Amino acid sequence: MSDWVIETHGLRKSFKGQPALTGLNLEVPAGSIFGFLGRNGAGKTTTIRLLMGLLKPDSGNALVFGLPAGDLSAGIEIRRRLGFVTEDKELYPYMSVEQIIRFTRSFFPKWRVDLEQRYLKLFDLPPGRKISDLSKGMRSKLMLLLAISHAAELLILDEPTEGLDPVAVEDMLRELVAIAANEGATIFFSSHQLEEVEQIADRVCIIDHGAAVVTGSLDDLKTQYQRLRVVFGEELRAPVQWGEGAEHVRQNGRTVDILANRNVEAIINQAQAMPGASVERFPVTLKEIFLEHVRSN
Amino acid sequence: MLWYKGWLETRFGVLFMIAFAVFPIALILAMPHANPGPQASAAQPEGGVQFFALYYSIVPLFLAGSGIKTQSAQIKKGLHGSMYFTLSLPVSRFRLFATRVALGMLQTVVILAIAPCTIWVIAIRSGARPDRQDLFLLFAFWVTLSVCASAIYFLGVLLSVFLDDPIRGMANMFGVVFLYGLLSKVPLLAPVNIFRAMVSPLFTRSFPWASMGISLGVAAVLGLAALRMVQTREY
Repeated sequence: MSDWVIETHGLRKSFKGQPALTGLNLEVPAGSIFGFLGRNGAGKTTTIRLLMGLLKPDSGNALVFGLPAGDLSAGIEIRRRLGFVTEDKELYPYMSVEQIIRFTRSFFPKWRVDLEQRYLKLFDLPPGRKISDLSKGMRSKLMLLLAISHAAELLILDEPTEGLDPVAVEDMLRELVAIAANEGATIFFSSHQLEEVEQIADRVCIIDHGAAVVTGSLDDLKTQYQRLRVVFGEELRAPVQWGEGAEHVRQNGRTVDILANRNVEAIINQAQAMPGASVERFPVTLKEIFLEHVRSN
Repeated sequence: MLWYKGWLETRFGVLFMIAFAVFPIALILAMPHANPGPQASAAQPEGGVQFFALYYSIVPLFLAGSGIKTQSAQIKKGLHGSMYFTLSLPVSRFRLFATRVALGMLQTVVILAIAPCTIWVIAIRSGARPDRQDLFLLFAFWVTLSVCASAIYFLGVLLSVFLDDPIRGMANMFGVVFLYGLLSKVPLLAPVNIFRAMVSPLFTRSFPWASMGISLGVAAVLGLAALRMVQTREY
């Protein structure tokens, strides 16, 4: 049995000749909170739809719990063990909160009434209210309740906090961490909100143009990535060839900003060896890593 | 619970179709009573009753569905977004499809029972006294109507796999009217005229077995094609 809850190998998918995924490799370890980041159209939702078996890959494969995601019979077993919050947060508008809970419960023998009641109360969801009368934020909460209450081993959340007010976002993030900690569930969530991802994720993957450009533990990434600012005494006449590891270099007059992802000390030594250069080192945020990779791509 | 979902989804459509099916009875009862006499009855053209069959063909079209709505031609935001929630449930696409198709067919057959009731009302209003054999004829009419309507129903099912409801409704209507015109006007197609077959027990006093068989065959082909599309389709 693999340690990965989700694995994709060389996943490719095109729509009418337009590539959406261009060889995505992804590994999501069990028990992690995995942030899946990317711009609009980067391939996040396509990846999620492939994992859910809603799309078939052109090539490569996707495994969830070690089972092939596109297989019809394996798909039932996969869906029994995972909870899904869709991007648009649409549920059946003609059902009430109580009806959709009853409806969803019927498909999951391991349904946890204690969790259902807890989240009904916590999310302040009125059982008798029609889904068509709920705001997008309330529907997000309801979808999360439905996903959590069947004791899912994996939660796939597509933009889970979209449409929520800041207080509700905080509540939801706190609950996601609690679910991962208390229920041992793996959480795989896509988001544009980098601060949110940084707040709760322990691993991230940045996807751009259909391929993973950065992936790994958030702590490791923050240790690995450093921003260096080199200030020279006078404006440089020609660009400097920086050593290996200087991933993104931006030169502006006397100042050179370098985002280094390895060999940081060697780059610092190289800078300090230059006449009149002073070097400062800054920790980087996830947002900076994201922007650097996405912009340069 | 998929039955329950299907019922909640279709209940207003069912009510609308009941009203639609009852409308001719209401119209007959609202008209001033006039005994047309035996000559008028004999002159009743078969084509007129065929139009009656066309009228009731709307019922299966309206109630058809494949269980998974498409998002491709979304008319109103959120109308079909719940499709992803449906597909995230641990049930097979076959079960989603079969439950919805069976429910729609059941509703169709039940509502089509109003058609022989309408004939009954017409007969009573005409001064006839239907006997036991007439009851059997009406029963045969209902069975034939339902079986022949299955072909139209599964055409609706097939279209519902890839068309959204409002577009499908219109496509179905035009399709059936075109089919009605084609089968009525082209003599070569007369043997497969399901609209004539639908009402034929009232005239021939027997089941149109060949037409019923053809209808079931067409329904099966359309149903299997729809199922195949549902199972292989990307969403």
